[in-house]
Amino acid sequence: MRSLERLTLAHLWVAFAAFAVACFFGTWQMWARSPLPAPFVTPDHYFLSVTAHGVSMAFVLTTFFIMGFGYFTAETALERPLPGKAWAWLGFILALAGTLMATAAILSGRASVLYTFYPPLTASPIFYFGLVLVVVGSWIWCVLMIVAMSQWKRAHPGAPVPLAMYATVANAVMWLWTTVGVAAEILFIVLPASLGWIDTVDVGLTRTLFSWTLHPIVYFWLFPAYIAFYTMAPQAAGGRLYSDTLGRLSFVLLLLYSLPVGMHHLFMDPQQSTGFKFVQMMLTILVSVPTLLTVFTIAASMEIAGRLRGGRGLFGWIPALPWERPMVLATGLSFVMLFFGGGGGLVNMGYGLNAMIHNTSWVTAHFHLIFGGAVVIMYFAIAYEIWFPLTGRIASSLLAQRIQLWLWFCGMMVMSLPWHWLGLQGQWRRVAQFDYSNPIIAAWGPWVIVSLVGGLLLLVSALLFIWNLASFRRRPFTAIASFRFAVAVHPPTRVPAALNGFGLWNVLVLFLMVAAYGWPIAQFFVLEAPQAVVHRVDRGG
Amino acid sequence: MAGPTRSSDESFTETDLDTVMEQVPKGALALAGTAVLLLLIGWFFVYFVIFIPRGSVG
Amino acid sequence: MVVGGAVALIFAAILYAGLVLHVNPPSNIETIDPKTLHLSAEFTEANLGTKVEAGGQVTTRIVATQFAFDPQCVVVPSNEPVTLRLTSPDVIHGILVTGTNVNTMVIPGYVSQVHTVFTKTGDLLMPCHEFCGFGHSQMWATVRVVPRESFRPDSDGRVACEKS
Repeated sequence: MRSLERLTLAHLWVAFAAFAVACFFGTWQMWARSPLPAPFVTPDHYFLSVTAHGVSMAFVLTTFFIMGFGYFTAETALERPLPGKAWAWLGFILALAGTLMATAAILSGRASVLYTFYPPLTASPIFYFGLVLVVVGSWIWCVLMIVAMSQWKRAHPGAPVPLAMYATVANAVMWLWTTVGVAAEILFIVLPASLGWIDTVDVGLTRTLFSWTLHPIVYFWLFPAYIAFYTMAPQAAGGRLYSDTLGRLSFVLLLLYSLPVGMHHLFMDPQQSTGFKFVQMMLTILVSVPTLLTVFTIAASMEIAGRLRGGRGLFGWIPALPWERPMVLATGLSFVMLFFGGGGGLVNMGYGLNAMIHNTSWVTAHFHLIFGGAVVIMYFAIAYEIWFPLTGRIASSLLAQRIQLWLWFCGMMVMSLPWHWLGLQGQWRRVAQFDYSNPIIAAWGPWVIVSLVGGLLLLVSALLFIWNLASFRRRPFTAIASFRFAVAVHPPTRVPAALNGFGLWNVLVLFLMVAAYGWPIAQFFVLEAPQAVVHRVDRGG
Repeated sequence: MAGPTRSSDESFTETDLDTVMEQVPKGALALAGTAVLLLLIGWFFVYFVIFIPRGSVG
Repeated sequence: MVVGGAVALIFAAILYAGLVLHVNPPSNIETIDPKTLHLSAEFTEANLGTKVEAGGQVTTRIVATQFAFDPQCVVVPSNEPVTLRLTSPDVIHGILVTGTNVNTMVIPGYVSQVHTVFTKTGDLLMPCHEFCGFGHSQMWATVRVVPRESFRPDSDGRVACEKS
């Protein structure tokens, strides 16, 4: 096996191992919250579990998957060896070391602060060092992606960067911008507090810095799914990508508008003004545009495939699609979950409607559907799709893959749809046990159990996913098959420089960030904001 | 069926593609348009039927 | 593409109109020292709960701590403007009131202020909805909405839940 394959597989196995463990934690959490008696339920265990589940899913599964898939894309789309492989391995080792450190801190009960780790609650410094290392490893990945694209452009002057790589680098650029917020928060405030160098923290500032990261990070997670939509699904369906240009435009718009919108996570916070909340709400509306563009473009690409297969009429192309192919099935199921998750998001994004559902199970439903559902189902499909070029092994059973994908979809829908209802009833978040003797809460019980059933389906699906990968079987081969990405209806021979690079977009991002976050952050250095006392969770206090 | 799920060679001709492109993107517009319409209706429902009756907040 | 853009703009217009007309989130950016809350004029123990101010304004003051609200029960009148003011001496908390749009984070160092009108009478649940430590699951208060006739302030303008 060549080194690129080993590099990618190393990342993917770490990602999927963390994912599988996190699924166990998640299912147990749902059992604990339900009216049914569950084992080991204490607040310490519960919040340890929530922290482990959140950190694994939000930071480990995602970062490692994105890095591994990025390395694969860089070599495959650009058809040249990845530059700086030694650096890539260093990045992997740092990120893995960081993951192990954070895991140790969490499992020893010294970091039950949840994956959002809002100060002044403060955990062991090992937890934060671990997270920092993961981010540093990912920064190395970012640089390598940018270098790979730059080198390719120099070797092919004027040629359009293949869409899969352009999107991957857009993600890398976005991630560099994204991590500024949380890196500043951790390095300048949270770590010093955790190390005992400072005893008080400015909570308004830390909330605001974290919000800088909290929104674009979900787009960081989402990019691989969209890359699969644009560059894998059309080919899997047997057609062509409707428009390469619309694809580039969507990725650029995601880069621009995912960043200056984090304040929509702070709508209910008293330390930011209505004015800036309004501005960021307007920008949030704009970030729905690339998703609408994507839904349209991918639907059109699927329509091409469906009509080529004989589908007629306004909707006849849909049943005509080759749904037996896992990548096609996953795309369809993802779009359904995107519909519901996106709908919930439209409610979240208005600061009035936000008041109705902030910190209720509605929010939990939204991000499980969008991320756990629409995005992660594409991670599965990508893994199935690239496993053959990575390992030279072929799938034992496409039926098993389809069953796994259907189970994930059904589980996610059964788990999250009731949460919308429960959120509207006022069911709030991050609770270890509900007092079901309270009549208001008692009414929620049956729906919590329905959700738990969904969670069990998800656990089975997660295990089946690992099983499916592990049971890819050997086939005598002489060379790794080359992987090809989807082709556009009109493959571009030239694209505008703006859609072949990121110079212009970086300037615009800078402008938008200064406008949206400049004063909201600067105010904390001008205001005499009294600081809160550090509250440690790792010393029993 | 085992192996990669995408065909390594395209199974259609450029003429087939041109014929199909006369219809596209009508179907996509229909699907995306329906989805957006449903989302708008859903949003209005939540806004007027659920949110507004819960009272003003400022 | 044109269609997508147009829809987005329609969305923007609708959201703008709807939201600006009806609701503003807690955004008063009012600071307070968490370490001396109990010594402050406003959030001292004796001044917590519901009080009818000199001008007739009903204000309810609540302090959120690990792991209880003080007071744990407040009385508010129905169909009258009420102002809720909350803060915390320790960590981040948050509240919602079931069946209403009352929702705010409670951030140490800041006072959160929410204006509303309660319409339905009865006992509403006001849980702490942001993780604040291991006792978070047991942290909630009651908001008792009573009709005008039952809302009887004492000589200081205060109304409290009956001890039962």
